[in-house]
Amino acid sequence: MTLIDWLLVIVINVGIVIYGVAAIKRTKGSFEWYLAAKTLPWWAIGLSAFGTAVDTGDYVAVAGGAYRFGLSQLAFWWLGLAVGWFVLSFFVIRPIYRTGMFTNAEWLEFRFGRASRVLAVLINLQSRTNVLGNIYFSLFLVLNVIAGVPDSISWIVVAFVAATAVLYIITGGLKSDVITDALQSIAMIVGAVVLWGAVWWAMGGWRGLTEKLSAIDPKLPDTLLHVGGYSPGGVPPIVVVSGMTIALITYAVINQYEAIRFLGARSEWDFKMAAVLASVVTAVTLWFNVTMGPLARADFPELKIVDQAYPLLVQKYLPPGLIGIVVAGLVAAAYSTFDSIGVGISSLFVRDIYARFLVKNASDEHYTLVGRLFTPVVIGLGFLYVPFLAAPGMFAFYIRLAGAIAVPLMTVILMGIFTRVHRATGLVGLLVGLTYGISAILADFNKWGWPVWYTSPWWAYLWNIVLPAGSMFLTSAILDKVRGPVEEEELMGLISTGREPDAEDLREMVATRLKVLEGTWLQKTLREAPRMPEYPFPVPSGGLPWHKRPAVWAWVYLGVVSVLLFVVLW
Amino acid sequence: MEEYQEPAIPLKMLYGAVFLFIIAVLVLASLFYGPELWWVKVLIGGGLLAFSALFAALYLRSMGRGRGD
Repeated sequence: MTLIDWLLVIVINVGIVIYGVAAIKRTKGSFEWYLAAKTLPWWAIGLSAFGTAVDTGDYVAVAGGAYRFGLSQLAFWWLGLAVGWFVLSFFVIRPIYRTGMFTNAEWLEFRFGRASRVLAVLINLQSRTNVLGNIYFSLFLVLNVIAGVPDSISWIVVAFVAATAVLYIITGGLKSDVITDALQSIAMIVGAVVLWGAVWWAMGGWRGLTEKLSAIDPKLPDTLLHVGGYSPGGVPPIVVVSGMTIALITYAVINQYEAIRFLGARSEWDFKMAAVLASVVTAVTLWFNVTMGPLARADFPELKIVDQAYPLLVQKYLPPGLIGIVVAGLVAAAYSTFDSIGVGISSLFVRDIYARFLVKNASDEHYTLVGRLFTPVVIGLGFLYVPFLAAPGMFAFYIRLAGAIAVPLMTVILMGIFTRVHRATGLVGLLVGLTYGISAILADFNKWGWPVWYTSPWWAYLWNIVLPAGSMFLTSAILDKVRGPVEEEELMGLISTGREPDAEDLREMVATRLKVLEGTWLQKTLREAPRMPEYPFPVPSGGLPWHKRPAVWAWVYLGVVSVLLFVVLW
Repeated sequence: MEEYQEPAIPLKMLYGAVFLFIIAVLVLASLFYGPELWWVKVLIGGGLLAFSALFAALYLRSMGRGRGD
């Protein structure tokens, strides 16, 4: 990298960090720090959700993943993430937003009890610190391979980026996070387009790519250039695509660090529209990133560390100046996820562990301070994963763990939102799913010779929906016989389809529902959370025009990507 | 302790104008390294300059409004 590239990387990212520190109002209370006082508009949340979901790891690891798995990964990003965001914003977030809660784990205790809340925190912590590890390693590869920076200095730069992200989060909380994410997402999109354009052009487009892959192996174009092309031994392509789709539905549904920006919306319309915007921006950007994998395979067919694919393309195809823009986008992608994980996991720790079990009745300032102090701890935990990431590739490592550990939590959340299962079933679903998931990992890792349909990470995505949901229905049916069906009052305000009282009654009802919260800071914040409007503008008497309805745009989006994935590119 | 005040919107406009201008200059300066993909650099640099000018114009207009012009 030349001096001009370094200057671009530094100016773009330091400029955004300074804006995050200086231009966003310093927050005082917990409501402001964690939820931006519920003032965020749809476009900021949408861009931020994209910037949070797509990190440096998703540039580098996605290209590395597509190097092996080809375009099948598009299902993951185009369909899985969008469906996840739609389910989150149209169904899961609504009860949490209306009842004045701050976290999804908090909702889990109201719906399924204390153990579910704690397990949700632990699963979120494991899954997000894993992602942090991916980002650290990706950023290291970018600096090491593209810029030729020595190992130790690359790691120092990675640590510096993480530390500066902490800086603006500590001062501005969620608002700083979302506004800087929106700016960083612009740098990310420009970087992705620039690299893709240069490589695509040099490769001779789709035809040139197909010819080069055929020359390496005549079967490669079929494997890499079709969504249904990747099929590891014993696993049909549709199971792979379903697994990838479920992986990102899970991502969007369970992750507090995604949910928290939707909870900071100024109205319910804003968080729904944000999901549509985030899906569109992600689909466009990830087309550029996923196709980098086959392009790299055509150019560097013998890579041992597949995650080097993206940095090598940058190095080979871009001139000075444009390298700086792409690397600036990669660093921006790291920032936009560091900050989000910092705020999101910190909110879980403070509300769902610290205030719930350790210090129950301190001042609001105290809990905000603890949240701020915990942020660097979360960011630091990600470094523990780095030693495990190099050999299988970051993508494969993430896929393995997410199917086993995160999917059961998604199943339990969706069962809690869409069905009337008993309160006691949440823990059953989580334990059944985790037991299966961990046993599949152990059998796979130790090569016990168990069948592929049990041990494969792709099958695990399906079983971890079927098994937890089945066990929850069964347990609930037994409890129905023993205790009778769940009372309406127990579900009121907590599920998507249930009867809902007036907003003020709902707030008081929820605040007093759990006796253990009596007199605590958590109860106080639930009572004091302001009631937010459904729309940020007056609604005409004839209802919203079609172009202002988030559901219309969500269906249009799903229709278009389904045709592209399952007809055009299948 | 004096309470921190969030900078006014005109100052944010000025910051945006200067920030984008610096990036544009750097991108255009990279043309001195060689002609490869020159048109991409000109496109990006030109776009950034346009946005920078827009922010500068918005800043000047809001300053004028502030003085009652």
